[in-house]
Amino acid sequence: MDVLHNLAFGFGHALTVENLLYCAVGCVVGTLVGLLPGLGPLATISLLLPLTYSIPATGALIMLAGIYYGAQYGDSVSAITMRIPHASSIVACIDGYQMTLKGKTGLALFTAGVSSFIGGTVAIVVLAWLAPLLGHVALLFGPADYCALMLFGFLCVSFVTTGSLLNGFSMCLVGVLLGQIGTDVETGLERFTFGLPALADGVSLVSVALGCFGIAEITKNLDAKDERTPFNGRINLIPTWPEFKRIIPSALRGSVVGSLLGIIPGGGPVIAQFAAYGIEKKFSKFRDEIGAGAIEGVAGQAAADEAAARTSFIPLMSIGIPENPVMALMMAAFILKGVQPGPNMIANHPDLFWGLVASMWIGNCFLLILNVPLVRFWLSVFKVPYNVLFPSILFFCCVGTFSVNNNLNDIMITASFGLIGYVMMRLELDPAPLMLGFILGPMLEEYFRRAMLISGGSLKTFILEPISASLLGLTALIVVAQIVLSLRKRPDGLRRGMA
Amino acid sequence: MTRVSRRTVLAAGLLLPATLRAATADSYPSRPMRLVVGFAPGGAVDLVARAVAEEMGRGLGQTMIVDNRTGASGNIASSEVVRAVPDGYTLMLGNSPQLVMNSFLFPNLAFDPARDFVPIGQAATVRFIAVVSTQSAAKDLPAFAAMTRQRPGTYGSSGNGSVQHLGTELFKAASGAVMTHVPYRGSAPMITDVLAARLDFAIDAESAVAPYVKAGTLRALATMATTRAPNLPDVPTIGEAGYGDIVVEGWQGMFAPARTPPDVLAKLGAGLKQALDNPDLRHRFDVASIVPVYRDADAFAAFIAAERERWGPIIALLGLKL
Repeated sequence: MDVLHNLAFGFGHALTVENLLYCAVGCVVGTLVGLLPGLGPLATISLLLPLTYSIPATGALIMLAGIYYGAQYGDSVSAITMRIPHASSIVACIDGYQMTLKGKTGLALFTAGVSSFIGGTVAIVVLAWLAPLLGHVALLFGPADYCALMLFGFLCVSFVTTGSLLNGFSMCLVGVLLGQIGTDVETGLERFTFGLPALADGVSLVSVALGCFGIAEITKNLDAKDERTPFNGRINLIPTWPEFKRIIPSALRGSVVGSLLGIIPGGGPVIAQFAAYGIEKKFSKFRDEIGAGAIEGVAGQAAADEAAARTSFIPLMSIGIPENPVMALMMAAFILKGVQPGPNMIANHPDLFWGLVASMWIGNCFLLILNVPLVRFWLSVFKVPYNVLFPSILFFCCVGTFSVNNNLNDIMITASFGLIGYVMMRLELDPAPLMLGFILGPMLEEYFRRAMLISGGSLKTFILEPISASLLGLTALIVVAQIVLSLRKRPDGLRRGMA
Repeated sequence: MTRVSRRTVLAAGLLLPATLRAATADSYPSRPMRLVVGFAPGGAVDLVARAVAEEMGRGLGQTMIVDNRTGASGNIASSEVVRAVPDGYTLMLGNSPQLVMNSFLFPNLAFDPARDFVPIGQAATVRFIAVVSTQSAAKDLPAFAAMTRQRPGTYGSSGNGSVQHLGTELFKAASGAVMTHVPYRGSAPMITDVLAARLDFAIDAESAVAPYVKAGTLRALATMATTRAPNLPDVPTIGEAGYGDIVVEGWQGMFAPARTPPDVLAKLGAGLKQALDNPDLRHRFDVASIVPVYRDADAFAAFIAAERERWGPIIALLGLKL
């Protein structure tokens, strides 16, 4: 088969000693970035971009790509062990951390590692067989379609909420409001910035996520002298056979969702995690356990964010569209190396494309080793006493926040959200729907207003565009179905309650 | 006891800054310099900065570190450099929005780019190309403008007050084209919508559109410059397309905070000129469709003043205030 022949050609390039080394370096750096709280692949790649001037093109791109997907691999670790999320492992803070509270950290980490492996593998298959065909999917989605997609995404609120639904929706709206801070794209006017230049670009996702989850959790651990995070660095990694069997279907579903959302610009790992979590909550055999520390709640999202990270290379390499800031940086790296990503890239530089795809598979194996058997070594840091561990974690949170824009103000903003997050935790307000609102709200607004500008102010555009119309129809259907179901259930429940 | 006369003390006091200045100029640079960039790594400004920093650092015998201070359309970087000690160790690689447009767009800026920066020299120019979707019926600019007068169109930009936005407004004024502005966050999502024929028109940097033009997925109607782009020899200049005076280009140059000693500035200017002659740097510029253009401090200052004269009235006319 043609693809197999090409892959063999790619492995020929990826398996040279030099390129294996670059792949390994990328994976190790990526793993470290994923493990350290707050640090993201964007800052790391931009830091390492200048170093690649002296490296041959294939090696440099293999290394930078390794950092990106490597960082997605291990990013659930800090969320599972300490409730400190990365942008693409926010939902791992729900079930992953619940598993830690139940003493099942090892199982959660094993699940995340193996699921990432499965997600990566599925995405590589998609990349190798369908990349040239799927690139154009990125062009299919217009502003109206994105707007409908974001609206559909809001349905996930009911899935990521662990407490009452009213609480979840309110927090989601708070998130939407927080997302309004900054410069309005349409008019260029500043909103809720109080004239502070530090707020002109809004509040970064990293600041809100770190503050509301990680820093709040650490603060809570400090004020309760007796009940500290039960995790002590000792883990039992090997799952039982029934546990292992539960990982596979969730990881596969997550991989498919992640692969699809990775291809659409604006989707990517951040959105994919929420979608995968929502799907598990709806379709998994163990859906009732999700939210209280279920394997499925970790497996789906871990597979999805890994798959999305890899398929987001498709629009870049097949039509030359960078769909997120990391891909824009990768595009710059390609161009610096004299390679123009776009329709002709696969034909003009087959060694680079197939070498990169093959290296992703090799990287997948490296990462599985780094993240499953070797995770014990990374976790030995937890044997450090709390009075050293907590300040060091906070230090890394500061470094991570600072590295996004090299701006001290961002650290102050993160600290403020730490305080807000702590108050929210004490009031038992749910941070996960807040994150969802914060991510989707501004996109919904931006795409809605753009759709209106392009259509000349006609709402009909949402019905006339086929993708938008089907998504809106689906959203309406699910909402109606939920209402009908809950109306039907209530008398039952009442009766049972009376009996 | 030796008496020191009042006059001697005064003379010493007067001489002291002079000797200090001589000392700084002779030994400058004696430690690493910082080149602040207001935009994210990977973009055109960052690319120019990194190439220039590497070559200039080599020429001056000290490392020049690129420091990306992103945010607020480059104003965060500008205000940081303006407040730095004017000793030649904090410099900025700035572009036209930072030095020209922003002072009109943001009336509440805490600094005045014209007064608080001193130019060292221009480093580069980026050509802008006017493109339409290949599905468009228009084969040239006048035909396109006529089409929009029949049926109003849309154009994209990478944000309010961006070169893309203001440049297209210039074209609208000159041609009578009727188009609604659709702003985006950055160039990539905007070009995506032109590729998909959801937007009718855009003016964007050569590096952003040339690959699509060559692949036949976008149609270039004009190069917004006085000469054709060597990369796109078949695309007419804006003059050839019939709108002679609307040159739209992006430029980048090196700046120091005002009151930086003149001899330090002279040393930096010479270093920049030398760096731009380096074939390695020229190759790096070339692959990213960036044209190395050197103007010395005086010529650059005059050029920037002319740019202010040109863009200020357009921004006022559009009533743009951010």
